[in-house]
Amino acid sequence: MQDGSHVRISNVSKRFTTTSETLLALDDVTLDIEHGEFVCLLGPSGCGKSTLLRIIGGLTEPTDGGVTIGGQTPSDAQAKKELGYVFQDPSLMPWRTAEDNIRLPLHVNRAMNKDSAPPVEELLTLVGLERFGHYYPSQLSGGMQQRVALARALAFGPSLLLMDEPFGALDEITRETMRYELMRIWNSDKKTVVFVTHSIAEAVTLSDRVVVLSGQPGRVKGVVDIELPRPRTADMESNRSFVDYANDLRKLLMQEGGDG
Amino acid sequence: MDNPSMQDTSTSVRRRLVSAMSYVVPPVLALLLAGIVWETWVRVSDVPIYMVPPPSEVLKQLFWEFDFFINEGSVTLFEALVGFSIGAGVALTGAALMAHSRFLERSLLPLAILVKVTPVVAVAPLFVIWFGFGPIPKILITALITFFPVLVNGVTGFRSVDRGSLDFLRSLNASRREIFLILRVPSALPYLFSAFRVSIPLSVIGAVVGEWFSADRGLGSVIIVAHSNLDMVTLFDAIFVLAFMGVGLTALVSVAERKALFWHESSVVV
Ligand SMILES: Nc1ncnc2c1ncn2[C@@H]1O[C@H](COP(=O)(O)OP(=O)(O)O)[C@@H](O)[C@H]1O
Ligand SMILES: [Mg+2]
Repeated sequence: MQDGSHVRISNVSKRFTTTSETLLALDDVTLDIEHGEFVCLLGPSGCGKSTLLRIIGGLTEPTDGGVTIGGQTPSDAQAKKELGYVFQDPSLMPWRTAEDNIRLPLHVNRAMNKDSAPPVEELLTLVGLERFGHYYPSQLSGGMQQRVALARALAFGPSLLLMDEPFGALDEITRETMRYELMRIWNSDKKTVVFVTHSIAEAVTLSDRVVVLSGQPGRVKGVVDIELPRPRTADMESNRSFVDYANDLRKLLMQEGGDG
Repeated sequence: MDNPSMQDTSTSVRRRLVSAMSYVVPPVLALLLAGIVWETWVRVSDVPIYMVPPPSEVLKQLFWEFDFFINEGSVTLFEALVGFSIGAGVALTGAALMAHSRFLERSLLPLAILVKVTPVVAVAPLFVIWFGFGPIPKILITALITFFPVLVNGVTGFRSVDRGSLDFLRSLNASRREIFLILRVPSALPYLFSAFRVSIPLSVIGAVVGEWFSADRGLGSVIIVAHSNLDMVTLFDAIFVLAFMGVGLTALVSVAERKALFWHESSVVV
């Protein structure tokens, strides 16, 4: 591993121009993310979380500033298959079985396939779907589909996992289960994760660090280190310190204006 | 899939047979009834045979001249299928290019629309002058008439991809070619099959219209000759064979569609 930060976001701004108006979605965002760190981007809807994640992933170009991933541009990181993306919708291909969906990334940009890529069976077991490899997405529940999407993002052994409200479309109960499943999976090989959410509980449970964004224009309002012991369990949610962190974040979110 | 018992298999075969019958039996009964009404009407009201022939005569001739109708029918079928393949092939290539470039779409689509709104019947004689009396003008007319539905649905289909799947492939640095093959082609299939269901019957029309203008072979020319001889029985036979051809081809497309689109909502029977 290289020295220094894994992801470096330097003075990133993003302006969207439509025919009628321009909108400043991100205003001068600077952030460093360490190797193996789990960072949540927390903020209200429309504050630019997805846009920031897309800029990190090289799907959107910033208007100003730049991002490096392990010292390279996002598009170089894409080309080396260093980025595993999970979206709010599972976005699986309905004509492929779960297994074939997970295998799909290996058929793309083949030159960059790594020997370290885990076998599909292992991935299915990791996400708890060992018996469902032959199922089509329409035969799986929403939570199961999102597990497939997660396995697919891990299939080619990326070093950075970008997750955009991956549990946002799930019911509350499944959501909680998935949270601890993700923790278990992450504990096994500590990838760097950038996780977008608008749920405070989710942010506290998962993160090493929570970056709170303010809305319109999106700015970094504050950064909170979550120093709860790992592995994190569901019991912790009633702990004094968990509740304190949640309250801190809530206060930060409610606070008027930028950089408090 | 895992290990269905023999009994499961045989009951499911039986169930499928029953459901197939439930599709076939009602229309066959309706057809039979229509035939009986028609026959009775012709017999009772003494319509002259050079106006409307009784179905019994039509079937009798079809039976005795079966080889003749099969031969002429296969000429028409050949022209229709080759024409459709060319029309659909050119349309798919065009659609793939247009789906990738708004510029190409803007320059080529008006041309395609121009071709579409021009009545085929009007250009058919021209094709005969240019390409002579063989199968080529018929094939070209068929290609022309089947081309447009496939083009338009192809452009829409190749573009109608799931946003997240596209982003995912992009995040892997997939090439345009990979995105086309892995995502765009399967996503377009529902649109393409709707186009085929329109174009396939059109292909038979194209072949027949082509034969009207210049042919000594094919059901189109059979119709023209029978018409000038006031030979209504042969005329009706030609129409029957053409109708049967249309039904058969459409059924084939439906079967292929059901196989290819097993994953698509439209194939879920409610
Ligand atoms: N492609 C785009 N074109 C124009 N405006 C956009 C585009 N993408 C996002 N926006 C705008 O940028 C703002 C931030 O959007 P987004 O990053 O999706 O927010 P979040 O993910 O936090 O809900 C919103 O106001 C949204 O309308
Ligand atoms: Mg979002």
